[in-house]
Amino acid sequence: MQDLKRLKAKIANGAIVCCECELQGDITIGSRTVIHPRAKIIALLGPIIIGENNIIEEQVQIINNGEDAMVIGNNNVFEVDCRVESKKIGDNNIVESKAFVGRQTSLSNGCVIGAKCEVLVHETLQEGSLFYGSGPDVKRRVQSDKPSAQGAQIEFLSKVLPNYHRIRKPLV
Amino acid sequence: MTHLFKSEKVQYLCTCGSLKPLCRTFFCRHCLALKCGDCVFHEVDILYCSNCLENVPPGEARVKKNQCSECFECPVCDQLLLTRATNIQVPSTEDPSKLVPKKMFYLVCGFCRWTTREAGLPDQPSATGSWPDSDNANSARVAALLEHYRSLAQLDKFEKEQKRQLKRRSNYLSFTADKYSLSALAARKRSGLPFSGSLGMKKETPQIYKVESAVAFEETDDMLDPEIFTKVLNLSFVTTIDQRIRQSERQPVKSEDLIPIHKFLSVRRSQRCRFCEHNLSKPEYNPSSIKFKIHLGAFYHVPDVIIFRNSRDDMQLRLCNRSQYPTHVRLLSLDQFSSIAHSKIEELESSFGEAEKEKKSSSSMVGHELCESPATQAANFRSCLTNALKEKVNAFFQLPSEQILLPARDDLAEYELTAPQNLKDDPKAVLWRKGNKVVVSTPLTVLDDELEEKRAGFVFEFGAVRAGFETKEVQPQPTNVYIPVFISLGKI
Repeated sequence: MQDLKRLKAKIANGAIVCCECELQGDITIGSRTVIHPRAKIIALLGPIIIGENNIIEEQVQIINNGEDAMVIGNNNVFEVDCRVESKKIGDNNIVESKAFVGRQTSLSNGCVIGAKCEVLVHETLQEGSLFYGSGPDVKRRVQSDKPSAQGAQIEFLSKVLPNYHRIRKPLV
Repeated sequence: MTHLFKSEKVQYLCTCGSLKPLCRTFFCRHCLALKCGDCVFHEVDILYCSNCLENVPPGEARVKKNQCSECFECPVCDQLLLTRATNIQVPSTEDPSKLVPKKMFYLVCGFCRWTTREAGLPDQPSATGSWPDSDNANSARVAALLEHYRSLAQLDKFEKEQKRQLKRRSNYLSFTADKYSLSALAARKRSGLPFSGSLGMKKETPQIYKVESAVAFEETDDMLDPEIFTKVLNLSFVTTIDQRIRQSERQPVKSEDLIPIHKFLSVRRSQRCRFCEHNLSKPEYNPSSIKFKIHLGAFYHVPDVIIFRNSRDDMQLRLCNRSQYPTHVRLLSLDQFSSIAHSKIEELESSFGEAEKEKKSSSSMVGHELCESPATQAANFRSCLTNALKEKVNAFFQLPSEQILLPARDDLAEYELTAPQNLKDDPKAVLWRKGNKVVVSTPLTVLDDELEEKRAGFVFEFGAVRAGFETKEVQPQPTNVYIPVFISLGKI
């Protein structure tokens, strides 16, 4: 078996991945994705495939514990200090600060996991579902408004982050 | 730091008999007694919105149903709603073919991301004040019923007045009418005619507001939809009971009927001594200010007792005086206090007899007189004694017998390099002294060694200045105040 730690992450052109973030294992990152410093993307056994236009902020832990691939779609936002172990995440989702998405949950499109919510349900969440509340009191509902696109934020980060952090070179 | 002052170990006995830590009590400077939150009057000072900090006088608040007109709450999760703006293109007024950007506003909840668009409410062109209010379908009927019952109440009152007038006047007239020939009145009364308007009863009989009586129907408006038995219910489109009751006028069943709720106003309260009706705590008018106009916290008037060292052999207590005046403090055991109290009660009751000669009843005395009257003071001593004796103690302190001077609080004392005053203290009793703080040695004798929680008590005697006497020439004389203190020593 290949020594997984030796593998370098495949970073597409246009992705802004800071040097100080921790990338371990077989990771593919799509273009225009911004990964802040201090993020941790750890593919222990299986690979992680991250799509385009995502924002992964500081202290985020994206961990793939199982052997099959973990797929993250496009236009997602992972806010500060959240923890994602879910196998499949679609598009346009928002995982807010300090939230935790468990291994059995899969996010479809347009979902919002509110701050400090722990979502461990064994199901694929309905489109546009929303979790809010905290502790044992997490409530869910379906929202009709889709979360807005983060295009402006991504552009801004792409210009500003390289001024202050070293960026990893793209490697296809 | 709050732990240091808010200790539950040292508790003071309030005039109502409850034990409270010092920081939770007030000190009424007229009654010279401790008052806690349970024995004061709480009054509504002013109403304000906790978001926009707008002061609303109570009369106006009643009209607005105690709700702020500008701020809204999310109907789903009860958090504040934020206003967000979007730009849309509208045809400009001058040239209909051109599109001009215009700002439209909608409300969104920061916690659960509910928006007014979900309720179907269109975006408003102005940021404030144009969101539609919930209108109650029954409000007209309720108003009519209220008017009807109000008119009935008025009629009742009028009839009562009439009866009273009749009763009063009948006696008067029977005595004087024949003597002074107020024959007109007497004649009218005898003939049974009603009194004329010249006697001041010009009011007409109030009319009753007529209301249609309610009609019962077999089928009501809010019948259950028969589809509920056939269709699968999607719980995310149904409101919870909490959400329904929060909007009690409309009580929407479907989630899409939830509309923003006006935020309720919060109350600023002022507290007043129950006995002498002086204010103990009164906040400022400005709702964002944390200061008080009047704040007679006991923390600043009564010396504070803290357990300095909690060991069985070498028990030490620290006394600290935070008021502006120096005081002489004496720590009395409960027996000593009861003898002092009894002698004072006798003294007051003898002078009580003299005051009775002046024919002053207690109900006519107000303020200073009421607080200082010997009857009140005797009653206070008695109740204090009975409350103090009710508390169970299983350990005793050996208290210093003489008075200890506690200087006033001096904020500049820490900057002074010279040594403080030379006070002659008994070195066995007073171990340490600095500024307005004194550490006193109080060896402990335990009654019952088996009980784990040890509790000791003593009575604190200190001099306090009664309010209302401060003139520039004369320094007011302090009076002795007695407050029982109970200390939970824990397991030692």
